[in-house]
Amino acid sequence: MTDASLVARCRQGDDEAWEELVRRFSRYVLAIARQAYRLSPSDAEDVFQDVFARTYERLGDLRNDEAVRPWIAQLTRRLCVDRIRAGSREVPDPLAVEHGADETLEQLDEALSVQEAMLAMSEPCREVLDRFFCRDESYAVIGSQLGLPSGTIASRISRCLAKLREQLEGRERGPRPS
Amino acid sequence: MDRLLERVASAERTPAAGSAAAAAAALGAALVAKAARRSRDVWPDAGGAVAQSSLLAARLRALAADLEASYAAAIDALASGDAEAIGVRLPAAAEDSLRLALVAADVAELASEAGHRCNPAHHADVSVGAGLAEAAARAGAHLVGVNLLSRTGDTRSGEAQRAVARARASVENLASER
Repeated sequence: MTDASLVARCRQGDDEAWEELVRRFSRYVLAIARQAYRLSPSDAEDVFQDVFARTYERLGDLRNDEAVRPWIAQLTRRLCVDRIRAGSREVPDPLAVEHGADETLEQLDEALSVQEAMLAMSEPCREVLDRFFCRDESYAVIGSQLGLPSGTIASRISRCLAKLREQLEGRERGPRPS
Repeated sequence: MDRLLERVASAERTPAAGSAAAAAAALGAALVAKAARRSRDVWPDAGGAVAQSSLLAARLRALAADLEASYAAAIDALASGDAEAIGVRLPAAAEDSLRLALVAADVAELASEAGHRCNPAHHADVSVGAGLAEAAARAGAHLVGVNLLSRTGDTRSGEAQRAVARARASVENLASER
């Protein structure tokens, strides 16, 4: 299900869609709070609760349903900054913190985009890429598990990477936060 | 290069054979990456080979450090005469040596794939890359045998020999294309 159709179902009050929305973005929100803003686990958990409470209240303000991810990212960033200001934490250089957060968020967005593009690929491609890049399996192991000659695995991976790139390039022309 | 040669030639215990072989295989991967980068005009999926060679080189860099550590631990165990430590440390060193043989064989297979696709002007680069990788796979298999001492029936020896066979087949494949 695309982000846009998920948001549309949430607007209709579909409880399962709300659960899916939280599941889909929970790691993203926590990663922004923990990795980009270095919040403590308890502060990050508070931000997490606030983000989804406000998402629930304000989803109607979202003008472009496809832009839910950048919208949630902006909301999370605002709440992280509020949390830092409200706490006793001293921020030596707020600009440096924001700059670091920008970089981390870019990496998180990239990782999420790759994950989404992988999900849109055919099962054989997804499997061969996952085995080589994520599970660190050798061509021989991949070949024996998939019943393919080891010598053909490298070319399969290259073809699947080309498809993944096409998927990602299609996504780069995607929505901006509204 | 100077630093690596200096370290290997030093009187220090490590880096030694395993790390030197990992460096040779990593150079093989780098040659494949070069050939792929310089063949984009005739090889649409060249980027996939670049990505795979980068990952294999990264695995070899990490492996070089693991090989140093496991070799040093194995030597310490042998020096101590502690049978229990020997029983743990030497198989661990054999395991790292097996990983070297497997990753090196992957580099050779990737080189073979590159040989079919790259600009013919770079066929020599990938052939030499495969040769370096095959030498590293042989080194890995040899070190598996050394670290397993006289232990018979250990599946790692057979697995390492199969990796050497994969690497050798890749080199022969490339040689037949000249």
